[in-house]
Amino acid sequence: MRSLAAIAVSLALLASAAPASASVALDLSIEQLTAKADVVVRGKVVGQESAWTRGGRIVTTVHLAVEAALKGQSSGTVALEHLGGHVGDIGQQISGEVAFQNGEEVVVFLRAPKQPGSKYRVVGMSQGKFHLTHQGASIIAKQSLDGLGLIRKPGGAIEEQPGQAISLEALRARISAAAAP
Amino acid sequence: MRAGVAAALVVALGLAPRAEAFVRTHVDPNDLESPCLFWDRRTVPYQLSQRGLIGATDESPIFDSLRTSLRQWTDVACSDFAYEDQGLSQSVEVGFNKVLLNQPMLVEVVKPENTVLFRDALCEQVVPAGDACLDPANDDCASRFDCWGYGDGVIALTTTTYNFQTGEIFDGDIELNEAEFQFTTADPPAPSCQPGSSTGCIGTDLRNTVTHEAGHLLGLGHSGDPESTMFLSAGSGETLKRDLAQDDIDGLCSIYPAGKPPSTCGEIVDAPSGCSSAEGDLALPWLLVMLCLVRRRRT
Repeated sequence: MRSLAAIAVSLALLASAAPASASVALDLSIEQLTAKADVVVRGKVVGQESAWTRGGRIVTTVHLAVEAALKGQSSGTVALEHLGGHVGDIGQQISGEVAFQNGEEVVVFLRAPKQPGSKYRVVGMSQGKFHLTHQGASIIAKQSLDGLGLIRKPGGAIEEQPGQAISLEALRARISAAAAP
Repeated sequence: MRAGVAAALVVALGLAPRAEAFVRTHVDPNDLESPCLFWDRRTVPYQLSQRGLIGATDESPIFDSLRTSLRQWTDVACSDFAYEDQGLSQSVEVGFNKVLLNQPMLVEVVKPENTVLFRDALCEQVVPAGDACLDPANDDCASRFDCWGYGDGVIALTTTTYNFQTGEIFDGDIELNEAEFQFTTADPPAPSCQPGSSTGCIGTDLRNTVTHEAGHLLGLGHSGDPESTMFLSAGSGETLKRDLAQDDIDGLCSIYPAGKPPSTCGEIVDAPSGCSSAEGDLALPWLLVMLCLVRRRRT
């Protein structure tokens, strides 16, 4: 029965990834994501809104209630933005870009804003978000690589499959190790 | 025990893949019940921007490669979909013409520009500090300075604008990051490019990249078929995605069957069609392996 339970859990994990359109990017490991991020936080999406920019793009601002900072300092609610979203009847997808759902629990790798008034950006497009799912007593973290084609660098040190599920505990440990001075 | 295996099989049947592995793009990436994207026209015009390609002429191999990539999706017998080359342009803009904002009915009057363009400079290197384009309300540095602002190892990026209610695509653009990646056009069996070399070798293969992106531009997502052009990942220097696999053709002809209206998700058409799930295709072989292991353990 344990095997069948494993099958069911694994199938649920496989089914949780959603298809979408795509861009192409270099494959980033958890360690590389951590190195590129100024802040890594675990949190819950408490709201989001989309708006047009003058450049003809839709940008979505996501409000994240921070539960824990896994790298850097962060607390309260942080605002991050990503390309794409929908305003009225018009939608825009920047393929491979990260997307969020209200109430979603996540670990996100964030780059600090460079300009006053700007917001955090997620590192590595959809690679920089791990969706958290509660599986009994444990929590599973998994990337949704919607729309993101990945290129592996020759001789790269990446061993895991992109989008592979990992326990939150293991994810935290790898982030902590990578963030250690 | 049998009931347990039977239950697993029921689960498996519920996720069982259809014959095809192709996947369509939805208006809401978080909602697989939402409408799928499609062009409501069979001939989709595109322009190739000369900007970012200093000195490149209409006959340059790089433009040939781009046209060949898009033509892959045109020369398919079971579909009448076509990308139409409208020549070279000097366009540096992506996104959606502001005239058309919230005015979908104007799309037929003011034709959007679908552009393929190279960005040969990084925005962080060419945009002056404090420039107005950096204001989040503007966020138009890429278009104003013809630069790449996405970073993080992104090689190519496709922007699609569409009707959120119906899924009809209005505009699509493909940007290629030439600032950080050396796109090559050499054919196999040319050797892999070594650091410092870019001619007569295969680096980031342009046709491999653009043929894949052009599949997204017409409404396809990532396929679960590792042989397909629309498969998720590619190895460095890969050229396999230059040519469509049967799964890619099935996907194209499902959305745009020859002589018939485009299919929307959930709609039943004669061609093998509808939204499919790559995850299902990944799940079934994996499940079969697991079931075999379970059975072997018990015998």
